[in-house]
Amino acid sequence: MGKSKRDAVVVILIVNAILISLMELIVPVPIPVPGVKLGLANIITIIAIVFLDLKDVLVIVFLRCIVVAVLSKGVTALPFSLSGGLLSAMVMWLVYKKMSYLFSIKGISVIGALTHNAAQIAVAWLILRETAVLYYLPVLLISAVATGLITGFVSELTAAEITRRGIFSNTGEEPGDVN
Amino acid sequence: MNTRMFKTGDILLMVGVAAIALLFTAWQNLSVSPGGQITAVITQDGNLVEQIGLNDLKAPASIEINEPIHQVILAENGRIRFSESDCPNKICVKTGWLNKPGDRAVCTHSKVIITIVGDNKEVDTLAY
Repeated sequence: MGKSKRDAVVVILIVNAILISLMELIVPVPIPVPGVKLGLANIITIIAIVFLDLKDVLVIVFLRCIVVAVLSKGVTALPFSLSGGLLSAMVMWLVYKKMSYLFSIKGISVIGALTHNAAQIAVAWLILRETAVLYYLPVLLISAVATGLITGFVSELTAAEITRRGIFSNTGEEPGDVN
Repeated sequence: MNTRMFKTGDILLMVGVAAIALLFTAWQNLSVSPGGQITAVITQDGNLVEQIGLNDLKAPASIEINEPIHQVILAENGRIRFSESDCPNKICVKTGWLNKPGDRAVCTHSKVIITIVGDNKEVDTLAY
C-alpha cells in the first residue's frame, strides 16, 4: 500500500470507527446489565490491525476515543475509553502478529474485549480507590467473551472480504506516487 | 482465511474465562453467610463518612451528602439505600435496598459508596 493510499485508508477507518461508536450509542442494546456494550468500533480496530501497522492502529483508536468522548460521553469518560482502547489494541496487535497459529480473529477479538474490560476496571479502581469494582469482574469477563465473539465474527468476515476483493492492496495508479 | 473455524486457542480461552468467572462468582457467594450483625459503611472518595449498625435501628435515619451534589441516604432496620440523588443517571438510587453483607451501592459521580459488612471476618477481608 502506497503512502497516500494508506493515509486515505487510515482516515476512512477513523471516520467509520467514530460513526459506528456514535450509532451504537443511539441504538439501545437490550442487555439489562449497566456498562455492557457491544463495542462495535472494535471491528475497525481489528481491520486496522490486519491491514496496517501498529502506529496507524493506535492513531485510529486514539482519535476515535477523543472525538466520541467530546461528542457524547463527556471528557470524564475519556480515561476509561482511552486506556481500554489503546491497551486492547496493542495486545490484539501483539497476539495477531505473534500467535496467529493459536488464535483466530474471533479469539483475538475476545482477548481485546477482555483487555479492554480489565483496563477499565483498573482505571475505575484508581479513580474510586475501592476494591468494590472487583465485584463486577465476573459480569465483565462473560460479557467480554460474548461481545468479543460477535465483533470478532464480523471483523473476520469483513477482513476476508477486503482481502478477496483486494480493496486495500496496491493495484492501480496512485496519484500521489506518480513522480 | 477460514471464517467458520475456531482454533485451539480460541476454545481454550473461552472455556478458561468462563471457568474463572464461575469460580469467582461461586467464591463470592459462598464466602458470604447470611444472618448475624450487619453494618452499613458509607465512604466518599475512600474516606469514611458514617458507619451505621443496621440491626439495632429503632427509627429510620437519613444521612445527607451535600458535596459535590445533593444526595440522601435512608437507613431502616436491616436495610439501607440511596433515596435521592442529583446525579445524571441515578444508578445509585436504582440499585435499591441493600440488606445483606457484600451488597453495595455506588455513585461514581459523587464517589459515595455504601457497603454492607457482616460480622463474618471473611467478608471483611473480601471487602477491604
